[in-house]
Amino acid sequence: MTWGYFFKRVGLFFVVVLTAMTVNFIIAHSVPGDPIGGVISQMTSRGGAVENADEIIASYRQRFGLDQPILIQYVVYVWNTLQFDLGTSIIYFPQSVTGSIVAALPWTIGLLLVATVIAFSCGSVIGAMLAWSGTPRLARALAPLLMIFSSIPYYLLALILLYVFAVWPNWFPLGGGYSSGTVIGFNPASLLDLAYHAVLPALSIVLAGLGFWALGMRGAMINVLGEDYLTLAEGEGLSRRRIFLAYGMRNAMLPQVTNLALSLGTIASGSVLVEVAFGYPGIGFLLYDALRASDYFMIQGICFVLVLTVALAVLVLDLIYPLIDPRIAHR
Amino acid sequence: MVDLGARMRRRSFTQLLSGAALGLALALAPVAAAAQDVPRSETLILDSTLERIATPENYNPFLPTTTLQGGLHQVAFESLFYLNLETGELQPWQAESYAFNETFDEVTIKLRDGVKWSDGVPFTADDVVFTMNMLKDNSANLGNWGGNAKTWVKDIVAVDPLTVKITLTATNPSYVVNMFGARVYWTNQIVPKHIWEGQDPATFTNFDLAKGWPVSTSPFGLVSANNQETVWARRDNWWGAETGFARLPAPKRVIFTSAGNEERRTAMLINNELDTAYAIGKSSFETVHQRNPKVVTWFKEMPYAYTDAGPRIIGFNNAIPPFDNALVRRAVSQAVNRDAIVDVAWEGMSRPIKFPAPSLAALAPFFEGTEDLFAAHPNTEFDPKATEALMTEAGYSKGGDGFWADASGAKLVVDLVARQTEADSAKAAPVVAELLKRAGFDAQFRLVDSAGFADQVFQGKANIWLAQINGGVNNPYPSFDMFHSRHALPIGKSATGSYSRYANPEYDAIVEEMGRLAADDPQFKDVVRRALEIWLRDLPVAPTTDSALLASYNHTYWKNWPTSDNPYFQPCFWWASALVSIVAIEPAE
Repeated sequence: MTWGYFFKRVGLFFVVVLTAMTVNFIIAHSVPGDPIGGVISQMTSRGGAVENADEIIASYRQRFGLDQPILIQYVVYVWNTLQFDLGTSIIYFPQSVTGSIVAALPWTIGLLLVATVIAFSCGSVIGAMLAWSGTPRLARALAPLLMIFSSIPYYLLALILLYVFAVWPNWFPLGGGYSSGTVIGFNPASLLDLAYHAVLPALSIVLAGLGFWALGMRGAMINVLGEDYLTLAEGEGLSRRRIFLAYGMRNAMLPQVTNLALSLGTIASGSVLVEVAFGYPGIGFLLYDALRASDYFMIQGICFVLVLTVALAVLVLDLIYPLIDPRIAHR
Repeated sequence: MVDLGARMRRRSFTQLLSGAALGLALALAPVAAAAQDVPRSETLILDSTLERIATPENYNPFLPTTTLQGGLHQVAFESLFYLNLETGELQPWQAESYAFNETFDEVTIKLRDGVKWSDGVPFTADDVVFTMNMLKDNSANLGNWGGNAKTWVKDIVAVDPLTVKITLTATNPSYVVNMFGARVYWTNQIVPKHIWEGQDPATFTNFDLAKGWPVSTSPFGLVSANNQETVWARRDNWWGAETGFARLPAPKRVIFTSAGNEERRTAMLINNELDTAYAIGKSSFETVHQRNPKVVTWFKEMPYAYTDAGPRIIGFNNAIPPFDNALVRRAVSQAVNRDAIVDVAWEGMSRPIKFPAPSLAALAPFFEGTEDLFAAHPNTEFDPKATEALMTEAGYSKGGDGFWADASGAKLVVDLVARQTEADSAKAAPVVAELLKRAGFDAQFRLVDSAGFADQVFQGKANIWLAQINGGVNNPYPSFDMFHSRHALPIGKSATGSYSRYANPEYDAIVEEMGRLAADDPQFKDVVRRALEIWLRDLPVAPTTDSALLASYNHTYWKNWPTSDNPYFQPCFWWASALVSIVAIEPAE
């Protein structure tokens, strides 16, 4: 890799981030509706007679700079965002956007990281086994089942799991991130409680993702199985287990690793509908809430973090790929 | 050969996972402060009515952006009075009594002796004066509380530590009940001067658990808060118990939890994970009751639900064609079969109404003797023939496609806007649109979020919509006042009141006259009749149904919930007046 390529790639990273920020701004501001008006609307729907709605709206529009020309708003937004000043939520003022994201992010990363790693690991092994001639028939029968799960949307799986495991037999909690009224700390009881509450949300993501990883791995494995070095390994009398793991799976994993890196980059975006279905206090739920209320600054802040993580993941992957696959070199 | 690289990678991966787990635990630790280990039987778990508690670190009750029903306005603060909708009495709490002068433009409020803030400082008239002046001086930033203070408070003084005198800008016999009585949902709570003085009320969050904030006079203090729940511990040194005003509340801990959607609320009730649940449908309630018979609602039988304070209407934009014409408004109204809305949107739990005020016992006497007016203006009777006649009279005729068009041939388009977050509106919208189509209106409906609704309805862009209207509960004046022309701001500005932009000087004068009279004044009913006559003739909005919010109460751990058999208070645990019930409930065993 040359320095020229490095700087070009980093420059592209900034162009991508800036473009995505601009698109975020345009989309958030194009949605019809006034977020402050929405707050007043909520107040009146709950019985508050608001005598001075126009005065409140004008005051808050001024506070958030929404009374400025759109171009000025854009410049201020870009300038502040590049300094990581994401501002305050409009509909939950004076709650800071950064504070809300920081509070929600650990939940989402904890859930999605574990779920993605499990789905990736299990899916890859299952996929490789599906392509391997020595796999028992029973294991092969898994393929259609996985296809069924992967074709069911996350949120629908979430609802099914809720009914099957939480509503009827009451084996798992109905939602939330931890038991009501408990103290969370770094101790076995708390970690167990967190894990207990994460089982169903994670399971819905794992089940929905297994098929994707398995199919990808199966395709890659079929390609690898036709390679000469496998024939050579068999000819040298290596054990089938070693051929499967060290020669087959290892080489078929490369595209899977690329997809994993991209998936990890999108982890911060959460799994919006799964979090909503389980009332899980993550970033997806936060985004869902912000979108419903046209909370510009919250939407822009969350999207900025998401764009940043995905762009960073792609950048890092691009830069380290030669280390994973020596055949690739950036010049 | 030992593959050191692989071993290191394995070790790094293990360390990474451990680090991530530690980081997660540490990151989550601050969201819950130490809470006492209180058994479930001594814990009261209330549905916050929210999918998430959006502002767990904001206990400023006056910001329009503060989430109130996550415990803040039920147990974080108390109110001077609580209006009891069942008895019609204004129940004194932090205050002992109030008295108006003869012209109802000056009120003297006597505070209760012995009321203390949670930090031990006495609650005095200075706190009331400070709060009201703060609201008045910051009206643009402090929601309806600021607007109301600016509108009504001319002057406020502390006569002595327990006496406050408020001079109003105009006659207003309902001022105390409207502002300080938790009439519907909210109340003007009083904050401690010694905490709030010097703070910017537009940004002050009033949250610091280490300092014991929010400081209040309530029997419950905040111990932890996050997006999932707020947890409140009983203050055993509550002034109410110490002065003998009330017994110490039985729950040692109160939790307001984000129970989420109806399916989750239903399941949580069955599993005894909730002691109350916000509006669920009739079939959901029947399922819950079948599996957990200790969960009950206001009535044992249909219609189950308590009548909510916010009846439903079809709103019209009276400022622009075609609904600036009363004949068209009445034609639309008579094209809608209210029974269909009751069946679909309310599962039979509600009932049609003829005027936009809830069917509460306290309001009925004010409408006695007005039957002739309703008979003369059968606006809410489903009568397609009347619709035909009214539209023809208004100058419309049906085109070849069967839709009404004006003299120039322009089709009358009905673009019905409804708020998707209001379940009954979302269910009623297609029914109303279909009924209007059958009556010859080119009707369609749109479900919008709260921001979209504000944009369309408040700003005057929509011409017809479905909404609720929160007027009077103990006398009809607030309902009539919603149609006063001061609310009818020009298109593009945010209207208030009923948002109908109805303007009629003759009606205004009568409503103003009503506002100057006490509800028990012998002339009051006559003024109501005169206002009603104009209102029914002009029909600024079309009343449809009562609101029937089926709130459930679980008797597994707690008893003495308000029900029709034990109607000591309104069953509205999401209102600011919920504290009265929370203090009254008792352990089930």
